[in-house]
Amino acid sequence: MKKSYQYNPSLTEILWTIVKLIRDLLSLLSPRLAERFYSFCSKHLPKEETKDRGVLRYAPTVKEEVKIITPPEEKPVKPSVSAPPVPPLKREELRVRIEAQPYIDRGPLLPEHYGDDRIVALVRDPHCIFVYWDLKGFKSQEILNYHKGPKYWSLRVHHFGEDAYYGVPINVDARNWYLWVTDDKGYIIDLGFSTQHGEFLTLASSNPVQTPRAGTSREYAEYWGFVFREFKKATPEGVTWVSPGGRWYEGWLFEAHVPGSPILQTQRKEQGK
Amino acid sequence: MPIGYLAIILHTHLPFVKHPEHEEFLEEDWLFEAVTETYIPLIDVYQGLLDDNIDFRITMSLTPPLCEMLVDPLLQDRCARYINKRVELMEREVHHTRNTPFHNTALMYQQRLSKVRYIYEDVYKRNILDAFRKFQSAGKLEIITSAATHGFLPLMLTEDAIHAQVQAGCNNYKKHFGKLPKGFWLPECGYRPGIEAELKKAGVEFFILDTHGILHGSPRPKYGIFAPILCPNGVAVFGRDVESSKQVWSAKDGYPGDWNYREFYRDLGYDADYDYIRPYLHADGVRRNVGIKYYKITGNVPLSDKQPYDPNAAREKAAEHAGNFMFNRQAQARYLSEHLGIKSIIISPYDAELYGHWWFEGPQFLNYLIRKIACDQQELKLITPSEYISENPKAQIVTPSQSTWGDKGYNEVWLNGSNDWIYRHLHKAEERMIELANSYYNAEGDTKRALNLAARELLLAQSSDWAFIMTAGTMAPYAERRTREHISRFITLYEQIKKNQIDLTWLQDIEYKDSIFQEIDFRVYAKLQKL
Repeated sequence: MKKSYQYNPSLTEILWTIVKLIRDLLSLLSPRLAERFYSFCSKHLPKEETKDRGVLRYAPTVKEEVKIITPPEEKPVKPSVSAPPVPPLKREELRVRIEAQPYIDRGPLLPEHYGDDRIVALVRDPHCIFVYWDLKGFKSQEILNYHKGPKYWSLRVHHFGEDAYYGVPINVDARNWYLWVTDDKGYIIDLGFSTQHGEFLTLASSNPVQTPRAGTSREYAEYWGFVFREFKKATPEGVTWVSPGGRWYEGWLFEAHVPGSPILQTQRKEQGK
Repeated sequence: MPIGYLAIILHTHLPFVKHPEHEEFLEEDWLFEAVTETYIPLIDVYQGLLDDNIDFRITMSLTPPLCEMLVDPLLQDRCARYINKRVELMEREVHHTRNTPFHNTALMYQQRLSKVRYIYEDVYKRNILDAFRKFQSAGKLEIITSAATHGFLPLMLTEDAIHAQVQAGCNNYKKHFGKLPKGFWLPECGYRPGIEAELKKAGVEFFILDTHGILHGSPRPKYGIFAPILCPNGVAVFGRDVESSKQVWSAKDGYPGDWNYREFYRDLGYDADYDYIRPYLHADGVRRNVGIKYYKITGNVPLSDKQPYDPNAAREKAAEHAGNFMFNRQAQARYLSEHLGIKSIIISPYDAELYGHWWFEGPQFLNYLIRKIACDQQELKLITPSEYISENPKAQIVTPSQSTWGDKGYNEVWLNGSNDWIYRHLHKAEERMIELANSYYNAEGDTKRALNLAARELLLAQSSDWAFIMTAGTMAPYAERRTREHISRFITLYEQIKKNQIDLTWLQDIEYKDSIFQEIDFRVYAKLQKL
């Protein structure tokens, strides 16, 4: 049978709605008159029904009793393979098992946040970046106090050196998110919200991260060098060798810092065949 | 003349677990089990080889927390107690199993444990680090180090924190072995480009990565994983060999799954009568593994259908497998020498605890393998990575790719829903530690004590083991507790130092509990030191 969800008010209910309407109108003229009218109606009309409409508009103020649901008793399933022989449980052992159960120490509670505005990105694998954030700093609190209207929170995922980005709508209270990305690329992630006027406000920017390569490199050039400690031992005579490709190279390492990078550069000198 | 080399690398690590506040502590057993089942059997194997004048090379990465635990007097006492209890149990068991099919096995355990006790107590006076030092100076063993507390470097926020982990690790190596390490085991083989710069500062010559860390490097490595590559700054990198790894690691297809080998999950701690086994359990009396196992794997059968273990059959199997392993490596070396035209190196890294603790016959396997390689053939030779570098200092320059040896090859094991909450706190602690180290660079007295302790707490919290255990699930509450405890101690110290109100009684208590790295200098976190 199809159940109707339409709300059908009873006659008394309609009557009482009218009574209340009249009372409200009367109260505009004279509150005392309205009160008299209402008490008269209460005496002579059939009593008002309180009907559960099946829709909970507001949270109940009184705590409802918690129903304890007991799971249906499991029927013992006959094991397909015989279990290892369980030695008979001694009284002492039973006591021990019961006592050993409840206490699990998970350590002291840590602060919920450290009062910062920050977002940090960490690489999980070539296709996934994890970000966590906190917006408890002075700056973001000020911005949030200023913008009272609706906010559409999102993460903006920027590629290094490109203007392009894409947005990922988020729930800002989640405080962390896993983002799906492309391998072998650099990313910076901005956290912010769009106001109802379409303006995007960045509250925090992440550290740059580089996702790993998920396959082999496209570069084939060969550079050769010496293990740094063996380098000095090997070079005084000016070592030359034939690379497996058949060309002569003289190679060496020299230490030169590339600005902003800890990686040292290598140089190769081609000597011809 | 050999045509190829084999480097066996045993990664030997345990997190720092010491609870002096408790008379006995469950997680401390990790160390005692490893000492009894892995480290001392390995020492026994090395000693036998040395006595028989057999040339061998093994590389072991003894991590700083493990070294610190091995020399800790309290843990040494407790380890001796653990071994004594096992010896006592076996003496009872030998009588108990008379006229049963388990008697031979019981005798084997009894002899073995008595020997373990003899080596631990009488030969090395409870300090088995001496043994490893001895084999190192004999030129047979190369000991390399790792990050201070085995912190997972790719997920650290600042370079300074990576620097501190590397530097503190190398300093600790110097304390225990009297020189600087040539090699470095990146915790979990976790690498991201840039880490090699910190290694070079510490004077490290080489480190080891998982296969794809090399193969996905740029430019493409010409010899793949069969020759080391150089990072652009001149630090050498070796890559893990897939084939030899699978043969030993895999529980299904690998050697340890052979049906004659000992079954790990059928333990006397669960099988014996409760009253009988009660004195050998922990104070809480819950049944747990006691390390005595009488059954063999038998086949794909339920635990109840396992058959009695036969030590002799298992030993023969280990010899057979050692022969097979060598044969395969020879074939590999021959193939590589034909096709690549170089003396290739096959890198086989394993967790040391695999040998002995998980795979009971592992040390015997190693023993046979080393003897066979030394005596039965000429093509293959054991080598350590640093010897290989001295012989072949020239290598292709390749920037390795970010990788780990964990499940799926990247960081997911240490960064997922079960443990991602820790990084928020760890990163903040990193930044605060750097701030403290820079602003209190010249601190003296109690402030210095507190700063050193703060550095220790941060290092301990960073240990990759906690994140790993949270992912694995078993013992997760302990890992959570350790992470929270160290971070919360760090926060307290930070606040006390900032307010200049150091609670000395509390400080002393924590110093006593977290007694790792007595030599630590908090200035490893300072920027000034690096200039």
